[in-house]
Order: sequence, then C-alpha cells, then structure tokens
Amino acid sequence: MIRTQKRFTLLDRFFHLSLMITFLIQGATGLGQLYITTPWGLALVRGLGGYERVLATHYGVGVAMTLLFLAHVAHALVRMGGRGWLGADSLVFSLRDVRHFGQNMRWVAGKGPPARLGRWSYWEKFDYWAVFWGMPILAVTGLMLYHSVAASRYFPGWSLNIASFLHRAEALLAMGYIFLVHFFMGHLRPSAFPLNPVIFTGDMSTEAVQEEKPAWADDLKAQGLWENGALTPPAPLVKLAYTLVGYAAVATGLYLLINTLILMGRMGLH
Amino acid sequence: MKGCRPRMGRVVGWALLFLLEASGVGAGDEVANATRRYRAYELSSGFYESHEVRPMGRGTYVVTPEAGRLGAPSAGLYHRGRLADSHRGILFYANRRCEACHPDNAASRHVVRGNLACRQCHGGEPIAGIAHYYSPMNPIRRHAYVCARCHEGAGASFATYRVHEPPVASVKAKQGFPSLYYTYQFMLWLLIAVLGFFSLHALGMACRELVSKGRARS
Repeated sequence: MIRTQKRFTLLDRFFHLSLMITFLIQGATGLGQLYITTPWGLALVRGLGGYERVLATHYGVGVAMTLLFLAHVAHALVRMGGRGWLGADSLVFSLRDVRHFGQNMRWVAGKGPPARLGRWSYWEKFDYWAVFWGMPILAVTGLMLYHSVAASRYFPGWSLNIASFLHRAEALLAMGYIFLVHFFMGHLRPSAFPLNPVIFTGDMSTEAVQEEKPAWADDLKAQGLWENGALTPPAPLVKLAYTLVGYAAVATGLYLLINTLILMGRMGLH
Repeated sequence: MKGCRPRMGRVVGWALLFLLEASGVGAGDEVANATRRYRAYELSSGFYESHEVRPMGRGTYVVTPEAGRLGAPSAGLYHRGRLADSHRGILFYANRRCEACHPDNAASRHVVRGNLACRQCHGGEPIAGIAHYYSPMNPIRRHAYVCARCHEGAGASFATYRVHEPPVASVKAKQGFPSLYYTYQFMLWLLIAVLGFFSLHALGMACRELVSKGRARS
C-alpha cells in the first residue's frame, strides 16, 4: 500500500485517453492520405481499408474529437466557475512559470537548485494549451476541406488552398510536438522512465509529489490534505495494461514520424 | 398610468410591424429575373442568363495574333491566355506532351491524386486561353463548365480555388499568392520555434537529471 495524492479525476483521464486514441487514428489516416502517392502511404491506406474508408474514418473521428474537445471546454468552464481562474492549482500561465523556467535553465547549466514546481509545471501547461490552438485550426480547416463546395459559400474559394496547407502544417506541428517532446517528457526522461503512469492512474505517490512537485506538496501540507491521501494497493495487471497502451502509442507515433520525416525530405507536404 | 399601458403596447406593436414590413422580411428572395430566383441558382449553376455572362465593358478578348506583327505568328505573344487557340504557331505542337512545357502544372493535386488528364478540364484542340471570352475556363463560367462537372454545386467562389497552386515557399507564391506564402512562413517559424525550444528544453532537463542521478548513486 502506498499513500497517493489525486492528480487527475476519472473524467480528466477519460479525456486524455480519448484524445490519445483519436489523435493516433487521425495521424495514421491523415498521413496515409497525405503520402498516398508513395509506396509507404499506399500500403498504409490499403492496410487501413482503402482510400474511401480511410477518408470516412478521418472525418468521423475528427468530428468525434471536436465534440470531445467542446465537451472538455464546457466542463473546464464549469469547473473554473466554481474554483476561479488563477491560483496554484490553475493551468493558466503566470509569472511564476517564467521564473521556474529561468531557475530550471540555471539548474541545467549547473548553477543553483531546480525550480520548486507546483501542481502543473510550465511545460505541462504548454502541453495542455497547445491543444487549444491546434484543435480549432484543424477542426475548421478539416470541415472546410471535407465540405469544400459549401465552405466556398462562406469563404472565397482560394481560402481552400490555405486551409489545405494549414491543415497539413498544423497536423505536422502537433504530431512533431507529441511524438518528440511530449513522449520524451512522459517516457524517456530519467525521472519518468519507463513511463509516467499518473495520467492513466490519476494518483501520484506522495514521494513523487515531494520530489517532483515540492510546491504542490507544500500547498497540500498547508491545507492539511497531505495525510489525507488515499492508500492505493499495487495493481500489477493495471500497470501492465497501461504500460502496454503507452508503449503501443509511442511505437505508433515514432513509426509515423520517422516515415513522415523521410517522405517530407523527398516531397514536402504535397 | 395603468390605463396607459395597453395603448402604448399597441403603438409599439404597430411600430414593430411597420419596421418589419419596411425591412423587407416578407418580400421574398432576391430575384434574378422574372422566372429564376438568384439564390437557388448561384450554387448549382450550369446555365446562366445572357446578361450574367456578358463581359462588362471590357470588350471581347478575341485577339488576332498576326495583326501588326512581323515574323513568325507566335513572335511577341505574351498573352497567349487570351487566344482562341492558345498554342497557335508553336512548332511541332502536335508531337509534344503538355508536361514538356508545363511541368509545374502537371504536379497539381488534381493530376497526381485525382488522376485527371489535362484535357479533362482544359478541353480538346484548340485549347482556348483561360481569359478568352468563349473559353470554358474563363472565370465568368469556369465554375459551371469545368468545376461543377465533378464538384456538384460549385459556384463562382469555389472556382477561385487555385488548382495549379504555386509551391508554398516559392517566389512565385510570394508574388502570385501572398496569403499562402505568408501562411507558410508563419507555420514554418512557429514549427521551428516550438519544436526547437521544447526539444532543447527536454534534452537539457534529461541530461541534468542523469547527472544528478549519477551523483546521488556515487
């Protein structure tokens, strides 16, 4: 039995897991369509059931992703209404994040201690907010491209050229960020290796909180919640399940990214 | 005061009704002519009234290339886009393939992905220049005569999509399609900034953590 602190609610974890699954489906079906003129893209599209089905999947999953995003925003607004926008538990950037970044950079250079991070570190906040610009761009341009004739009633037709480029470029930026930076910070960083399970279990052991999030530990102690953390029994089967899911995601992401980088060098985003 | 209210309400009601009537809400759709409603027509075109396709005060585009020129018929022709036969006078034209002279145009998505041949949109010989008055590619009827054959309901706005899009990073794009070029520049620098910044941050953090773990062990 280990004492743990609640970091993510069941709904938070549901949103993360569904975003993870839909993101990977969109990545695979999107890159298959993007590089369908190459042997790799054609094999990927054929493996996923042919062009028509890949396109229908990409559209359907994209709509599902957008609805989930809107549901998350509505939920977050309601929750923020009760709790307020700012404060130590908030995901909104503050000056403290700039200071933490500066302290960490000095620490990397070997001068001074690492930043005493709160509940959400500055890079975790960026992970969260990056979705907020990617989602609207991809959803709007995706809908424009799928319903191109209808879209040309509200926008000039040449904006479809721009929508097409933006959809590809933004998706590439999102995949590059998730598959390189986000996966690295969640899996390969020495303090996270082999996998940071908190987003799947929702609970963080008090030791880990003390070590990685000392400012959050201080807050919990000041509020008298430190000793109230739940006692969680170890669950080896659950651990095996999320480790497999995590590594399946990493493998899929790297497979897509490496092939994309090879083909990008040859033919760009055509 | 109490006795006043119903009368005021009636006055306001009549005033609203008057304004509603004056705003033309009940007047129906915009009408293009006696029999056709414009809106039902704009998207699913194919046939236009003659007054809608008349070149407005710009005269016809028909050009006779030989007029006033010396030498070969093609000499000095910089506006082939306005000819009824845009390839007029080109030597050995019949033996050449389109992509021999128009390699960039053959790289278009319509060709590479849609598997279309040039003639499926540009038509058979003689291929009129796209600005020629009677050309199906002329912007005044392109949406109806070309786009709508596959994209059902294509309107004039839809036809402004650039099928032969210049490469996003090219000077051609900068001059001919600046909004696309600057979108590309913006996304490129955003990509470099985001990935560069966070990759370096992740690597720095990871190396530092390795060092402090090694120190803790020894």
